[in-house]
Amino acid sequence: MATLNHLKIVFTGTPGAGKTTAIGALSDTPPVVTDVRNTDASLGKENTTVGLDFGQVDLGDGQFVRLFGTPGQLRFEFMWQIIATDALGLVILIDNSRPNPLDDLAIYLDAYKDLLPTMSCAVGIGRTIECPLPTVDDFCDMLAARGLLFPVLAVDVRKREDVLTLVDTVLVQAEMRL
Amino acid sequence: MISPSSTVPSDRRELKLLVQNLTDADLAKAAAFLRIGRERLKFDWKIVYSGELDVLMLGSDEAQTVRGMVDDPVATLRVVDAHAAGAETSSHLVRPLEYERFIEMLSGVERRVAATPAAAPAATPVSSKPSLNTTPPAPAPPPAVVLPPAARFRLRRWPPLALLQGYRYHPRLASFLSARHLDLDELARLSNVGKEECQEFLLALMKGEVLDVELAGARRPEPPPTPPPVSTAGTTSPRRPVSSSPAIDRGLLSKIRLSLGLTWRR
Amino acid sequence: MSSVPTFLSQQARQVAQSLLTAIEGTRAVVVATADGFDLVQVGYSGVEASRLAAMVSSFAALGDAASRESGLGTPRCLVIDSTDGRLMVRCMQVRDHAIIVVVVTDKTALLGLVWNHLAAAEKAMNAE
Repeated sequence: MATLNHLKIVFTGTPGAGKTTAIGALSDTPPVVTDVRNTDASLGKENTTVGLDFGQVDLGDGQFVRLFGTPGQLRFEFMWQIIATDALGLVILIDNSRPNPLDDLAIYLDAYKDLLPTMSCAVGIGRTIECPLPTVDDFCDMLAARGLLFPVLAVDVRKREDVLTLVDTVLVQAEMRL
Repeated sequence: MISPSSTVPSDRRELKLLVQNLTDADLAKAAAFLRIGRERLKFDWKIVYSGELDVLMLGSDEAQTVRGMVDDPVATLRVVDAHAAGAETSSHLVRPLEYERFIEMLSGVERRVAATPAAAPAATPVSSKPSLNTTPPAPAPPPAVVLPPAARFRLRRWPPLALLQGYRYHPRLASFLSARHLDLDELARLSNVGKEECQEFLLALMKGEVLDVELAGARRPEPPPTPPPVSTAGTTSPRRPVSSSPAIDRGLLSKIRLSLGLTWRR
Repeated sequence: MSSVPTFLSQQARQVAQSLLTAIEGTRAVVVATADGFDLVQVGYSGVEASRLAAMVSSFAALGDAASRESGLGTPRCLVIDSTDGRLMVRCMQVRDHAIIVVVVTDKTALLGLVWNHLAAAEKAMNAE
């Protein structure tokens, strides 16, 4: 029987990809959000996460799954590693409407390259309807070129079911490692 | 007889692939490739052994026909060994037959066919020499779409959302299939999911072209799969934590699913 | 890149310079936007200004979240008291712009003195 009383799943990815939204969709309690006003005009957002997002799911008996969201911008890379250490799994959310979504994914694959071999991971691509390119296959090709085969799913994080599917694929990978 | 055609009635034009002097393995592969690649091809392909043809697929240098009595097929595909002279020629298929190359060549033929006005397929008279490895097939009922016998499967791509959402075991099956080639029995045993459901999922994956299919003849040796832990809810101990993270067991993962409200259609 | 008004960058530089001069034991002063861009660094803190700016903005945002969750309102100051010195972080509001001023000191700097100087600096920036 596990003696721990918490697990964590980390949501990372590009600014505007929906990390805060995804955590909000799953968390039992209103998530802690560390959004501040954005001063970077290129981001196209009013607010941006600079600390971390935090939500949790109560499993009962004092056990929780903690959901953490990292800040998306590269200058907060130091937070990415800190937050992801000892995580059950990682969900990378990519916004396909950005100029170079494949380059965006590469940033996170590089940042987490030491953790990925032993960590469950799923990639969620958002806004694929408005911006169908690159395709999900393009992302899969990129992962395959790095010797990685993770779930890559076109999702809308405003739909709880899509977020759940991403998390479920993380859980099945964790099951495989048992 | 192995037939690649689907049981689903089709309004697609049919092209006939006449095969001569192919080995059993080559013939089985060609049939499997046509079945798997049906969605990628624009026409319905049918393997025939005599009579009218559109494309000739040869396992020898020359077609066994009476010279001068064969109208040119749209294309002739020669199956050669890798070390054979001229193996790299663009119209040659090198053994072992490879799916992508095979489909690519047929797609090229289809483009040529589509570009020319429809003509009656070439007629082959009865060959003057009996071919070694072919027998005229008896008329067969439309075959069901089935998994290639004794084949092993592995995911090339993760399945799309539509194949995962609402299905209790599909993500689990996908996870096992992502790790190594498995046959149907192995998949069912490792995943603890019923064989019928595994089969349905595999067929859906084949149709979606996200599956790598390894036929019996082309099998590469792989390490034996790890036997699955006994799966009883909430009581399984962790076997080998891979990372330094806290111990995780199946019961906890089930609790997570329950708490998140992960529900399934089936 | 951050887009902040020129006046703010200029004020930030003046404030940083005066804090460096006024507080004994100060090694460096960094002024950052709330979303983690560095505006000014004076002195030497041992770490790149851009990196420190990002870190303290996270720190400040987390402090803000903790303060609100605890029902304590908006945080004014956060302190990291380390073995060889301190980082003192003041969250300031300067005419609708949220900035963060970080004073990096050795162990000799007096905490209360730094706080007073930071409070005075915020008042001064809003008065101009």
